[in-house]
Amino acid sequence: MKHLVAMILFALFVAIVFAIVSKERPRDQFAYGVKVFFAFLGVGLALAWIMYPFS
Amino acid sequence: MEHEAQPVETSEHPMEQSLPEVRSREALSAATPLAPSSTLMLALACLAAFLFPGLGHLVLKRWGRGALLALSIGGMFLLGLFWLDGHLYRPDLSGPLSVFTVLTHLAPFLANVGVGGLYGLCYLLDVGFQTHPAASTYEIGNTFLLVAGLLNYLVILDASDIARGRKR
Repeated sequence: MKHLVAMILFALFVAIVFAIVSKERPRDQFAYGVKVFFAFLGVGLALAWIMYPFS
Repeated sequence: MEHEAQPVETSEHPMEQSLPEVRSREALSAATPLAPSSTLMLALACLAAFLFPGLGHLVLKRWGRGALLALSIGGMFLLGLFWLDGHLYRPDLSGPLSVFTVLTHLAPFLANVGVGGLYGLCYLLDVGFQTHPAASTYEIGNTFLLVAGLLNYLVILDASDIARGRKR
């Protein structure tokens, strides 16, 4: 569970920073941040399932 | 001191030229040109951003961005160190310099030092340099600490862009 929470927090923090440095308007920052957050989560979960048979 | 209107910078990247957000940014910049801050303010902002994540944006009166950056990068640093049992790297170059040494010591050290003042404080207090390889989240903690430093380099560049008038 700690690993899952860590992954979610990592995605959240990185998404916030990426959104702030990449976009200027608050609405654009929010939209981009949400996109990046779910992209990180999605890729993380996908890689986890890909690695699962080899664990 | 009068600030001349800065020329609108447009990207030459073919993919970015067609983005509506680029066109709207150009229109916004053309309507209200950004005034760059003085060289002293630029230096202060970059130094402040290096000393503590988000402080450079606070110096430039971007309160919301500064607060969010401080919480994000500072939070990532603290969680990596105290919750996930990661460790900071020292610039240990006692052995012969090789690709292995650069990858395993120098590069992580340079990434860690990106948080600037936080790393310096830990160095002075000798906190966070002990390794905990038995901890299940040891590598995750290391990742948090490395990425926090690397993200702060981006934040320093962002503060620099705001101070130069390239961004709002």
